Formats: sequence, C-alpha cells, structure tokens
Amino acid sequence: MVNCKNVCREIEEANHGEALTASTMEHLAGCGHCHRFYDERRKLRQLVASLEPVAAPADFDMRVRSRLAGSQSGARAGSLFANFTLGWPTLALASLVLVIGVTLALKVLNSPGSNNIAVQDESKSAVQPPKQEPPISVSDELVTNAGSRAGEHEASRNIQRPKQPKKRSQLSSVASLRNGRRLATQEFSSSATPVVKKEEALASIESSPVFQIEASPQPLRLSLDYSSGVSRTISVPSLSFGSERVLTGNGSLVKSSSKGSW
Amino acid sequence: MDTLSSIDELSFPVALRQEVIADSTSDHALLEATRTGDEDAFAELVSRYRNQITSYIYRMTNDYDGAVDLAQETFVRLYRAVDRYQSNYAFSTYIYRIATNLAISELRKRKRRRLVSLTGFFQAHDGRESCELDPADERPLQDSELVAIERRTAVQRAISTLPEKYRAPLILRDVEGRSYEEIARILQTSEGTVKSRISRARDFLREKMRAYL
Repeated sequence: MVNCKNVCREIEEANHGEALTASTMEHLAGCGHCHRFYDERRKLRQLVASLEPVAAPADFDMRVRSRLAGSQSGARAGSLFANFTLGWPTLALASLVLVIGVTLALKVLNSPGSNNIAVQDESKSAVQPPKQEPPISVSDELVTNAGSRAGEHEASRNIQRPKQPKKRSQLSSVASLRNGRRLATQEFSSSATPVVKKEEALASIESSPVFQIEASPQPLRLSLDYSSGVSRTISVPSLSFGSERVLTGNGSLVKSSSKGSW
Repeated sequence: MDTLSSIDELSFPVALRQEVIADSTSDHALLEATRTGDEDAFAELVSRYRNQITSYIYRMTNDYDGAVDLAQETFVRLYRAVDRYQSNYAFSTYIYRIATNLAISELRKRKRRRLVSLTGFFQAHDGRESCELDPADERPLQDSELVAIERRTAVQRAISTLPEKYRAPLILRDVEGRSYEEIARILQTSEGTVKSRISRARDFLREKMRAYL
C-alpha cells in the first residue's frame, strides 16, 4: 500500500537520478507534502553531487614511494626498541628492579663473611723507628722446652716470628663483620716476615732468659672505607706480648701466659 | 569436421579473452601482485585510487593539504597491511575504510586540539546555528560560473559542519555514489543505520542550505 511514509522512504533511498515507481509518482501528484519533500531532496542531492572531485597532486606517487621508503627504514632502525615504550608499566618495572637490586646489595653488604673491605692504614706515613720495648720475660718452661728441643731440629729450621713489618703500606688489612661484630685483621702474608734464626734465639736465651721483641708503641689505626661512602676509623692499642706460643715437638701448643695478656 | 588451417584459428572466444584480461588487471590481482613484491602493481593501484581517496578525504576534512597527506597515509597503510587483506569484499571497500578511519581520526584530533579556525570565531557556541564568516557580497554576479562556485563552496562548508557520524555516509552516498551495502561495509555498520544516518544528514543539510533550495 502506498502511503506518505513509504513514498518518502523510496525517495530517500533511491539512487540519484533514478526514476521512481509509477505508484509513487501517482502519489506525489496528489500529495503536496510528499511532493515538497521530493523537490527538496532532489535539489539537495543535485547540490551535493555538484561538488567536483578534487585531484591529487602530480607528485602524489613519488610522495607515497618516499614515505614508504622512509617508514621502512624507520622500522628497521627502530626494530631494536620496537617493544620498548616508556610508560607506566616500564617505569614500574624499572622501579621494582631498582628496589630489588638495592635490597640485594644491602643484604650482601651486611652478610657476615662476605664483607671484605680494604683497610687503609693511616699511620703508614708516620713510620716510627723501632723502639725498644720493655723486655718480655719468657717463662722457664718455655725456655726449657726451647732449649731441649733445639738440638733435635735441623740447623736450618728457623723460628719465624713477626718482628716488625718493614713497611706498613705493604700490608693488606682486612675488616670483616662476623656475628654482627666488625673485626679488623691484619694480614702479613704479603710482607716479608722477619726471621729470628734458631742460633740467634738460642744465643739470646743462653745469655739471658729474656729477649726483646721490637714493636711499635704507636696504636694501630685502621680506617675502614665502605663502598657506600661511609668510613670508620678503628684504633687498635699497642699490644703487650706477655706470652708466646711455641710449637713443641709433638705439635701441641705450649702456652705460657702472664697477667693481662691475651 | 572443420580442420584448422593455421594456428591463428585456434583462439579463445572473445568474451573469455576479455574476462582473462580484466581479471589480470583487477584490483585483487594487483593487490596479490603487490603482496609478492611487485612495485608496479602497487603503483597501478595508487594511480587508480589516488584521486578518489584524496577527494573523499578532502570532502571529509575540508582541508586539501591535510587530505593529500592522509591519502598518502592511506596507501602507506594499505601497503603495510597488504598481507592482511582478505578478498571477501571489493578492494574499494577496503581502501575507503582505511581512508574513512584516518579522516575520522583526524577530525577527532582537531576536536581535541580545539584548532582555532577563522570561521570558528563566527560560529555559535551552542552548536545550534552556525553563522559562518560569509560577508555579503554586494557586487553583481558576473556570470553563472561564479554562482556555481559560490554554491559549491556553501555546500562544502555545510558538509564540513556536519557531525562526523553523519558526514561520512552522506559523502559516500551523495558525493561518491556508493551503494548502501558498500557504505555499510566501509563504515562497518548495518544498512539500516546507514540509511538512518544519511536521512538525518540530509535533514541537517537542508536546514543549512535552505537559501539555495
């Protein structure tokens, strides 16, 4: 059935310049509203269709080619970082990695046994000449043992004892934290060890039961320089050797101690 | 039984030969050749559609330089995505879809940037009625050509004031002459929606072009 709604729909959907059906044309002849609608739509479509097509510029193809070449070279250059975008996820991931790294670093620094920090001896510049220490008395037992064992050993055997380091700068000092306490140890392995020969020792023992050990009265100051920029100075007072350790023949340690010694 | 006197008599029917020739130069064939690296086939596609795409985007954006730029971008994207092309629909549908998406994206960018145009100063802020910068020309019209130019300018200006969802289907239908079915495929919507939007767009346009109707 032809009514105004159907006629308007047909007018609306018809192609430009397309003839309408006979029934619609008949309706248009008798319906002023639909006829006005038809005229307006026809003129409007004529107006819109009057827009002339716009031509692309003459160098359009060349521009497309250069653009393609540019995009391909750009894609090759950026292929390494194609998946990298500096956004919130990236920043969050970087922050997480940083926190984990700092935590691990702190844990490693605070773990016992693994915190070896080179220690610089500040007193190396003020090397004092060896000063005579008060004589250290050696107990009779030690002397007796030393004397009795002396003939049993070969003549070339030496009693090695750290007399005094030649240069403190040559010493490598190590500080470590064990069981929560920081210990400073001084390693003499890299320096030449002073040697007291057996004959000299025996001679000194024979002449007097007391022999002297040269030691510096200066307190040993160790400066611990942490890698984190924190430094600490440890002052080790001069030691009084009130006892000596001597290896007996069976390898057991014979200790002779006096008051106030280790 | 007829016997062949020469090799020339062994020929295909004319209709079949034309079909083969047409198929070898169809858009699909050119795109397949482009997919295999044939640069000349792609150049042929560009030369076929460059004016159509440029004109369509110009109607959408009302900016010639921008339209040329977007048309080039359309072909660049076509080239990059040539492997993803499916030959279910016409090639023109495919390339018009790319161009439409680029044009709408550009229109939305402009809206976000709130580009200040000279005509924008004279538009009403409530969006109800626009009073474009169109000072009255008191001089007598020279000839019908000037009238036609003025009319086309007014039409283009009126189209450019349409909302984007009405603009694209109206241009595709009344300027480009596409069918409802193809417009629906280009815009990825239903035919009913396309018809409704075109009708609404014409109503808008009628109000703006009342003086010329």
